[in-house]
Amino acid sequence: MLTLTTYRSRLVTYIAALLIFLVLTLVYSYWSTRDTLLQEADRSMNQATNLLTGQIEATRNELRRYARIVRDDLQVKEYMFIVVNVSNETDPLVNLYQKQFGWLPVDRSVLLKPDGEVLIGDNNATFVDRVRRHTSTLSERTFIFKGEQHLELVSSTPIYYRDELIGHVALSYSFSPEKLLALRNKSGGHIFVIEDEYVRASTVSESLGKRFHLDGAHINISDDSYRVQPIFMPDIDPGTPELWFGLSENELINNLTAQARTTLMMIIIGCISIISLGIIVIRNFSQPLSSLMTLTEQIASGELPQLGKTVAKNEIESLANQFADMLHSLREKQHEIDRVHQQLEELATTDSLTGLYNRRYLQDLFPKIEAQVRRDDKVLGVTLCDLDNFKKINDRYGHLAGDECLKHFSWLMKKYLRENDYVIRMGGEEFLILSLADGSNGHLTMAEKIRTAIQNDRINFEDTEIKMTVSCGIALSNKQNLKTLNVLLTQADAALYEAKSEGRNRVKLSQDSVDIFYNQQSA
Amino acid sequence: MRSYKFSRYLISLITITVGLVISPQIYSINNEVPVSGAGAHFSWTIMNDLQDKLEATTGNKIKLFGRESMLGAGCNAGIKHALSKPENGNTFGLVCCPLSNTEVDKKKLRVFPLALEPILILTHSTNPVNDLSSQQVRDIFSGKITNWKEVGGDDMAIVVVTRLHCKKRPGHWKTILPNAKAFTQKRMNVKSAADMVNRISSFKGSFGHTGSAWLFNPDDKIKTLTVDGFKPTAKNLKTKNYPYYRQLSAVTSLKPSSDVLNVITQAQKLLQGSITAARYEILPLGVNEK
Repeated sequence: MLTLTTYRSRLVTYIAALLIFLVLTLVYSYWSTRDTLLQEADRSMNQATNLLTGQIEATRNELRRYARIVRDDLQVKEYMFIVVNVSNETDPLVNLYQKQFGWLPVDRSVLLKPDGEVLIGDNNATFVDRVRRHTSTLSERTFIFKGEQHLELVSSTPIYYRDELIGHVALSYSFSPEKLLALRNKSGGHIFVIEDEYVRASTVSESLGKRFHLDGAHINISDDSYRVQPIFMPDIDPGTPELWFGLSENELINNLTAQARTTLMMIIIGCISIISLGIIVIRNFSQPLSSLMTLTEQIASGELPQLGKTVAKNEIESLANQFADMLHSLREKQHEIDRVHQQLEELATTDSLTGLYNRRYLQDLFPKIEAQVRRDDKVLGVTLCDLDNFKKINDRYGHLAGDECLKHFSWLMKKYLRENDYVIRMGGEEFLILSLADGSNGHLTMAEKIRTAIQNDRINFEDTEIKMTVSCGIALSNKQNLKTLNVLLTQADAALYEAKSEGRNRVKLSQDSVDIFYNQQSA
Repeated sequence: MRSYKFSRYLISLITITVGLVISPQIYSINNEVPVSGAGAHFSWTIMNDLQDKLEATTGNKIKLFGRESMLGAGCNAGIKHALSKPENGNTFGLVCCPLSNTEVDKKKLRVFPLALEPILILTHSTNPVNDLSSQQVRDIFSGKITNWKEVGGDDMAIVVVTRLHCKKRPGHWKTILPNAKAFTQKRMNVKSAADMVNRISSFKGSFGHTGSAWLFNPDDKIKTLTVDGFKPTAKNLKTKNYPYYRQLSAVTSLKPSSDVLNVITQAQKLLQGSITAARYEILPLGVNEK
């Protein structure tokens, strides 16, 4: 189960969903358009065919109207009357016709005598012959026939003057390839002129002379297939070629391909746009958020990394700046905590009266000292000092005086001890000195110096001089005879007891350390 | 502000002054009712030629509607115009045919003959024939002669063009043949003199007629034939050597204004020995009324 726990994953999911939606929409659009195109192709076939039929009908009506205009022109009728009945002088009629009707948009025009003789106009034999055939009915006619080159639409009408038939006028409109092309341009698609199942004229040049074999409503010409439909033509003479309208399926497919290309292009552009947008969103939103999250994790793990402040341009940068402020504040708090912690630690390991280490510190210190003994092959001296008759001092001079004595003794010990020697107040008036030396002599000498110094010293307290002595018991340990702290303290305590027993104010070496003393003395 | 008011007063003063000065003139112009005439082209041509002199001698302003107007053209239009303003009688009409007494009485007209106008016998300018006898002219119009070869011309069919207008009035083309039925049916009958000229110019074998007062264009392909060796002139009309003619007249209502009468009388007078009469070979008939 996919869980969208991060904004980045959500964003990626949303973008992916958007991409899928876009692709699906465009693919659906393509298939809809494809169906629509195919349906439209059929519909446009009918529309185009109707349009072409309508155009032919309109041309037919127009031609008929022109023929009537000629028929009803009085001057033409008079001139024809004269030419037919009086004079064979046709030039005036020709000139008049040119002047009056030379502008008519027709391809052929002919004026015939009642007997069919051409008065003026086109002498094309096929045309005249066909017109003669139709004018024999003495009524207005329109017809389509196959001319020498093209299909021709003809409108003819008899001309009467003073109730006498004086001839016929016939006007024709020829469906030349150019005009077929013009028709085709109006309707789209292609036009085929079919005679005896062969294409005689067409707007598709490759189809000329090819067999027009119908396969349902389709024909195949060259490599293309056409949907075809006949164009209705009224008044068509028997044997006249037929007009067919066709839509190229290749063109249709090309349209579809173009549509597919467009759709694909839109998909690519849409995907690139969405992905770019996603990257920009992730870069501008998710990435800074991730950085902040990493920072938060570092903070959570106890780190307080440095984070520079910037000029905030957006909410996230503002948040980062607030984080920087927060980090700065946390660092200050941490420093405060460290300082307090150090103070507490110092308080925990230091005697508040004398400023010396307390007994607790001894537990931490001894393993280090022991390691140093083992590593550097030193002799460890553990000297336990106890002020003599300290209770009496307290009783005699008071506790404040006693405290002053303790502080003074501590100061004195520090004065006579080396930097690497440790003095620990064990409790009351009892002090422990831990010292390391290459030989054993130094320990006793150092203890003797202290004893002598305190013996000779006077403590001034409230205009009273107080005298003190100290007894010391020493235990030794070395690499070869490594002893535990308890053992050393016991031995030093035994030696101190011995010093006390022997009258105080003296230094005594533990009996258990005698061997070490002698063995290490020369060193 | 003061300057603006002054300008306004000044403009008002100028406007009133100008108005007072020109209003009598406008009134006099509007009050002047010109004598107007309209009708057949051929009579109009004569009056048009005489207009300046007529205006000078009569002191009347004359408006003529004829060849270039919608009102003119045609005897019937002339009669209609003559009767158009009975309240002032300041109109007259122009006709190119003699009117029958019946028509004059029925329409309550007064007829003032102006001149006799020869009827020209026309053919195409390329036709080698120059003269025909009056009988040959009648035979051609009647259809008895159908080829120029028969009258000494080329072997070419004769294309007869007629303009048999004013059929109920005497004279005019009836000096050639008495009625329309006497003319060949294989002819072109045109509606106007302009059509006549056009048809004659079109057919090389054409044959037609029109009045001598017609204003031909230089590019008309027209030739006038002599009849019985006589040209269609006033002199030959007077001597009765030229057989085809018609009477050009002015007509009025029964109570024409004195101005109209004056104009018509002056026209009749001015035609005598005028350049106009000579130019169109018309025979003035003097001051008279039918």
